[in-house]
Amino acid sequence: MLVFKKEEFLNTFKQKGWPSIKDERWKYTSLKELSAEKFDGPNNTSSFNFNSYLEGLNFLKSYLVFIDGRLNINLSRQPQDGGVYFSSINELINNNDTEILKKITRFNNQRTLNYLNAGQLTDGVLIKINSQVKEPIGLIFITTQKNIQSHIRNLIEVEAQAKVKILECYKGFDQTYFNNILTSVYLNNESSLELYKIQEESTRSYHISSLEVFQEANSHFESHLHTFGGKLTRNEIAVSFNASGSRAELFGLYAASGTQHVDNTTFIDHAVSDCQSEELYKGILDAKAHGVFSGEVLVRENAQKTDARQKNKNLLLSEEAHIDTKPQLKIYADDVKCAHGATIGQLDKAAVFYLRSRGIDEAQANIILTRAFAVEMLEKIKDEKMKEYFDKTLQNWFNHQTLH
Amino acid sequence: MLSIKNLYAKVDGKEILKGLNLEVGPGEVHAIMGPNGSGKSTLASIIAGRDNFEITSGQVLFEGKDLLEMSPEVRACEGIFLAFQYPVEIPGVANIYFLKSALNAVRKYQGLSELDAIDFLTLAKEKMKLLDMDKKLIDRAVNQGFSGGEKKRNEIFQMAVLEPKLSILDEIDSGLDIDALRIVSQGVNSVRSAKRSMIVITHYQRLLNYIVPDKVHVLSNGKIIRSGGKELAFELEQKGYARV
Amino acid sequence: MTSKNTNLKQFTDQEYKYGFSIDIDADAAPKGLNEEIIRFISHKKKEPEFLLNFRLKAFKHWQTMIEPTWAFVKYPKIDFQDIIYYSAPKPKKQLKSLDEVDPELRAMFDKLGINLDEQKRISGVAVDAVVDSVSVATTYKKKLAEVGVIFCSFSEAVQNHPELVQKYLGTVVPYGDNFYSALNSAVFSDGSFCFIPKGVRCPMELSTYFRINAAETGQFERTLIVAEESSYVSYLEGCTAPQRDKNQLHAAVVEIVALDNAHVKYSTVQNWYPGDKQGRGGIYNFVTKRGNCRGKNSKISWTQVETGSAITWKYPSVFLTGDNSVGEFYSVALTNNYQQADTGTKMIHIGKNTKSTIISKGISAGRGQNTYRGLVKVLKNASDSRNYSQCDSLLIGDKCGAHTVPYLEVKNKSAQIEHEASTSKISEDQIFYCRQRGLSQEDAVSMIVNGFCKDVFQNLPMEFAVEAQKLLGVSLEGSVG
Repeated sequence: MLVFKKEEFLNTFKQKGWPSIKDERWKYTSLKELSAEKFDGPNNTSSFNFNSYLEGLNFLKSYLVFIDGRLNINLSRQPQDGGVYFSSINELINNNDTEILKKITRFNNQRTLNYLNAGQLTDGVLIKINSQVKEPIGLIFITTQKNIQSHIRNLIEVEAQAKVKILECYKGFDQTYFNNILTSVYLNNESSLELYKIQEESTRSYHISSLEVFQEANSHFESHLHTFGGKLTRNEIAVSFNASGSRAELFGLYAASGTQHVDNTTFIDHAVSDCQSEELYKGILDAKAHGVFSGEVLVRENAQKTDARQKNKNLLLSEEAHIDTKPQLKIYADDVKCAHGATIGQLDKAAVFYLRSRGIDEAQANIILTRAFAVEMLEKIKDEKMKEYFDKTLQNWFNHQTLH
Repeated sequence: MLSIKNLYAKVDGKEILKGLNLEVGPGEVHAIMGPNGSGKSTLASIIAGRDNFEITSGQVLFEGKDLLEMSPEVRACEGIFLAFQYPVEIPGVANIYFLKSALNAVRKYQGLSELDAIDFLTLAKEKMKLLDMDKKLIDRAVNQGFSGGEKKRNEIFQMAVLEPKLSILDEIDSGLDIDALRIVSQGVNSVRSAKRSMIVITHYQRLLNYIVPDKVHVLSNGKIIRSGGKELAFELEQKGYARV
Repeated sequence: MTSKNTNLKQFTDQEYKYGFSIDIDADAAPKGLNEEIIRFISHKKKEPEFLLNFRLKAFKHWQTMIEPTWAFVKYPKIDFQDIIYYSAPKPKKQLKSLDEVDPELRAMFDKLGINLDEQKRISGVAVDAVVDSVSVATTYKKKLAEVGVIFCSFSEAVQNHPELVQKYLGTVVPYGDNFYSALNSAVFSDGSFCFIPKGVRCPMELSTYFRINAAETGQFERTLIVAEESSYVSYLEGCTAPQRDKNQLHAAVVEIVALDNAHVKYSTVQNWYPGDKQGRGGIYNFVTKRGNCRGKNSKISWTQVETGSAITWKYPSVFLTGDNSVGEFYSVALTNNYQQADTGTKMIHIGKNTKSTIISKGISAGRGQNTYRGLVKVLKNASDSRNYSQCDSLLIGDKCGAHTVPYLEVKNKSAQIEHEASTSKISEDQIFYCRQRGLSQEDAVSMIVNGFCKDVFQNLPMEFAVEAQKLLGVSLEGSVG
C-alpha cells in the first residue's frame, strides 16, 4: 500500500535546496529573502468574521473557503450541481486512497518547490467535474495568521465533454506569510476549463504557485490570472498537449507598486500536432516594482500544424520600476505558425497631454490611460459576471495607488 | 493546341476528375463553368503541374507533347500560364525582379536572348499602362499587401508580359468590382490572338460579356456534361446548373 | 521527376567551394598550451612587455574559467592541449613590398578570388590577408597613410604604434570577459589593426580575409578598430577554411571603439568550412565581437552573413555609452546539414537617448539548429532609449530547429522596447507559383530565401551583398527536394 510520507519529500527538498538565480528558470527571481524567513505551520483558526472578505463573491452560487490553507466547510457554500464532486485533500490522504495518493505525488520532479509542497502539505482540494456545469465554482483562500506557511495541493479533473469555470481568490491580512500552491489539472477529451485567478494577497506575503495542465484531445483550457498583491509573487503555468486538437489560452495581468516583485513564468509544450496556444500577459509596474515575464514555447518534432502565439506588454510608470522579459520559442517542426513579441514602454505623452488639455489633472489622466492599457485583459473574459468582478478588483487596485 | 483525353485524377484518395475530355485549338477561348467542387480548379492545377494530385489514367497533350511528363517550370517555358485564383505572397521579392527573372527563364528556354533591365522596363511599362497598374505595385514584394483586385490585375499583368500560348484564368473575376473587371478583361483581350488560346474558368456569365468565349463547357462531377457556344452561358445563368 | 533529382544531386555534389589547402612551409609551435607557449608566441613576435603581461594575465584567468554550456549547441569536449596555438606561414625572406609575397600564397588568394595586386583590383578595397592567424599582406597601405589611416596587421601595429595598441587593447573586451576571449587574449597571434584619425572619412572600404590553412591549428586573431572623432570607416571581413575531417577551433576577438560622432560599419561574410553532410569536420567558431560607442552621437553597425562553420557561437554587441549613440545588428544565419548556430547580439544602453536596431533572419535546413540569442539592456540612466528587434526564422524541412531566446532587461521608464519574432516555412504554394512562371525549383528557393533576407542584405556593401546571395544559394543546394 502506498503511504504518503511527508518527511521523505521534505528531506528531498532539503537535499535539493531552494532554486537559485543561477538556474536559468529563476534568473530574475531570487528566493534568498524568502528562504531566510522563519514560518510556522498554521494553528487552528479563530472565529473571525470573514464576511467582508466574501462580500464581493456573492455572485458565486458555490464556493469553498480555505482559512490559513485548510478547507473550512462551515464558511463554504457547497456545490449543488450533481456533476461536481469535491473533497479535501487531507481527508483523502487520511483515507489512504491509493489512486489519489498517486495523483498527489505525481508532479514535475525538476521543480524543487514541489517537494517542499508535499513535505509540508497543509490541505487543498480535489475537484472532479463529470458534466457541463453552468455555475462557476469559487476556491477562496484567506490567510489570517502571521508568519505561517501554507502548502496547498489542488487537483482538478474534468471528464470527457465536461465543462466548468473555476475562480481562485487569494486574500490575506496585512502581514507576512507564505503560500506555496501546486495545482494539477487534467482535461480529458473534448473537455473545457476556464480557470480564473485573482491574487490580492498582503503586500508583505510570498505567493508561489505552480499550475500544471495536461490536455487530452480537443480539450480547451483558458486561464485569466490577475496579480495585484504579494511582496514576491511567482506564478508558473505549464501546459502539456498530450493529444491533438487542443487549445490553451493564457491571459495575465500584473499590477505592482512599492517594492513588489511579480514573476510570471509559462511553459507550453506542443508535444503533438494540431494544437493552438495563445498567451497575452500585460504588466503595469509602478514605484520600485520589478516585473518578470518568462515564456517558453516548445514545439517538438512532429508537432506539425502548431499555432502558437505569445505576447508580453509592459508599462513602466516610474523611474525605479523595472522589467525583465524573456519570451522564447524553441521549434523543431517546420509546418508551424509561431510568433512572439514583447514591448516595454510608457504612457503615450500625447495622450496624457490630450486629456490634460480637456481639464483632467495629470494623476487622473495617468490612471485613465493605465486603466485603458489594462482593459484589454478584462475584455478577454467572456463570462459577464466574472468580468464584472475582475473589473472591481482592478478598480480596487487603482483606488489604493497614487500612480507616479 | 491542348488535348485532354479521358483524364482521371484523385486528391487525397478521392476521385475529382472522372474521364474528362477537352480539345482547345489555337486562338480559341474556352469557358469552363460549373458548380463548386465540380473539379474546375483541379483541372487548372493539373494543366499547370501541381503535384498534389494523383493522375490515375488519361492523357494531356500540349502541341503534341506529353504535358504530364514535364515539370511545372518546363510547362511554363513551353507557354502555359495559370492566373491563380489565390495568388500567393512572396515577402521580400520585388514584383518587378520576380517577373524579369521569370521572363528571362522562359526566353532562355525558348532560345531567345535575355532582356536587360532597360528593355525589360520598357516592356513592363507598356503592359502596365494596358492594365492601368499603379507604378508602386511593381516595386512592392510579389502580391504582398495587395488587395484582391490588385492581385488579379498583377496576374494579368504577368500574363501580358510573358505572352503565353495557353492561358488558364482561374476565377479571375472573383472579388472584382465592375470597373476592375472591365480593366482586367481589357488586359486579357489584348493578349488574344490567332495563336494564343485561353481557358476561362468562372462561375458567372458576367465575365463572358467581356471575354467572349468561342465555346462554353459545363463541368460537373469531374466530367464535361455539356458543351456549346456562348449562348450556353446565358442558359446557365437563367436555369442554374441543376437543370442543365 | 527523375530529371529533377539528378539536378539536385549535381548541386549537392558541388559542395564547399573553398575546400583546398596548400602546402605552405609553416613555422609552428608544438601542440598544447602553457606559459612557455605564450612566452614563445610573444617572443617570436618581439612584443613589448605590456603585451606579454596582458597575455599572461589572460592565461592565468583562463585557467580558472570553465567552458560555457548555456548555448544551444552540442559538440564533443574540446581538448585544448591538442591544438597548435601558433602557426605562421614561413616567409621565404623579409617582405619589402607586396610583389615579394610568397607565390604559393598569392596563388591561394587568387583561388579565393582575392587579388593582392593593387593595380589589378578594380573595386578599390584595401585588403589585409590573414592566413593561420598571421597577416601576410596588406594592400593600399600608402594611399591610406596619406590621409592618416593606419591599416596593417596587428603585429605591425604592435611594433609601429605600441602606444595606440596599449591604449585601446582590451578596453572593449577585457581579457577575462569570457572563456574564449580569455583564451584569445593569451594566445592571439595576429589580426588586423585599423585606426581612423579625427575627421577622416576612410576613402575606401577596408577588408580582411581570414583563412585557416594549416591542420590541427587553432586560429586566434585579434582585430582592433579605433575610429576617432567624426571619422567613418566601412570594414569587411571574409572567412574561409579548407575541408578537414577534424574540427578546428577559431576563437577570435574583435574590438571597436567609436569616439564622438564616429561611425563604424563592420560587415562579415563568414564561410568557414561547415563540415560534410554527415556532420564530420568543420570549424568551431567561438567569436567575441564587441563595439563601444564611447562618444556622443557615435554609431556602430554590425552586419553578418553566417553560412559556414560547424558551430557558430557569436554575439556581436554594442555598448551604447555615449549619449545619442546608435547600435545596429543585421544578421543572416543559415544552418544546413548538421550545422549549429547560436548567435545574436547584446545592445547595452548606457547613455541617454541611445537607439538600437536588431534584425535577425535565421534559416534552418537539413538537421541544422539555429538559435537567436539576444540581450537588450537599458540601464537606469539611459533615458529615452529605443530598441526595435525583429527575429524571423525560416524552416526548410522537418528535421531542423529554430529557436529564439531574447532577454529584455529594462530599468528606465522612458525606454521604448519592442521585440517581435515569427517563424515560417517556404510554402509549397510559393514554390509552385514561381515554377509556374518558369523558374526552376532551385531558383525559386533561392529567390524566396533571398527575399526573406532582404532587410539584412540591403545593409551590406554592394560587393558583399552579391557574394552573400550566392553563398546562400550554394549553402542551400539540395535542401529542398
